[in-house]
Amino acid sequence: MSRPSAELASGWGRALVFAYGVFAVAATGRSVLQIGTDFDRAPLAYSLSLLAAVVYLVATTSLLLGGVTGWRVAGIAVGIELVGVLSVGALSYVATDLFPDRTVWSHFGQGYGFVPLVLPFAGLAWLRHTRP
Amino acid sequence: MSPSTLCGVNAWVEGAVLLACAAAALLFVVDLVRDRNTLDSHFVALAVVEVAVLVHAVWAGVDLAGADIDGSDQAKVISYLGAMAIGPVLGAYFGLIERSRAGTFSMLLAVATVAALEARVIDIWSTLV
Repeated sequence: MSRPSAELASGWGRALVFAYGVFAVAATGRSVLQIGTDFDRAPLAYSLSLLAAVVYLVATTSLLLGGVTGWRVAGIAVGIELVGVLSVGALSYVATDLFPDRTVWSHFGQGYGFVPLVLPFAGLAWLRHTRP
Repeated sequence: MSPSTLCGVNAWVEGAVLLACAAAALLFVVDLVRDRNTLDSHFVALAVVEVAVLVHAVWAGVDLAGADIDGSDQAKVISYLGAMAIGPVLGAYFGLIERSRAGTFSMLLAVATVAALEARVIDIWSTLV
């Protein structure tokens, strides 16, 4: 049995924490700016930006904290992130009127070099590797 | 002070930041492929990126202070420049606490983040002049 508390944020997990941390800051800054300055322009898109920010913050924190609970919470956050990036990514192509402005997950994270699309798969692979 | 006059000079600084990021990224990728752990040369590369970013931040700060630009645009550029300055420091910290290939990969992520932020600053800056 592996020890998630010791392994979640060590080795390659530390690189994952770094990537999630960067996106937590980026998504938080973006959502705060969008909601604070022009929320009425694209309420759905800006609310999804805020959701993305919360998901990245929770994933970063739970990966850092480790333990079985941290592993489970990280799993839920990364799962929501995967569903979010796939559904918002697809909707931003199909239902363009729903998204007058972009979110972190729009067009499968095209504005961020598609890293938001790769990140949940990397996160799930790491969580599988460190499964308690 | 006209921002457009200084913007031409700033292009060299912006280029220096991107060049430093590219050189550091190349070093990290080569060492990752060669299966090397975090080396002192990696920290030197990050230091060079940090110096370039700080020069850019000061230069842009002087530019912005003398220009007649909207406060929210100024805040946006300053926040990007601040995030850029923190990137190499965080990368170095992660490299120090994880002196393995994962640490080098974290450093690679740090310079990639700085380069992406620099590209965004260039984009925003072009709308200000």
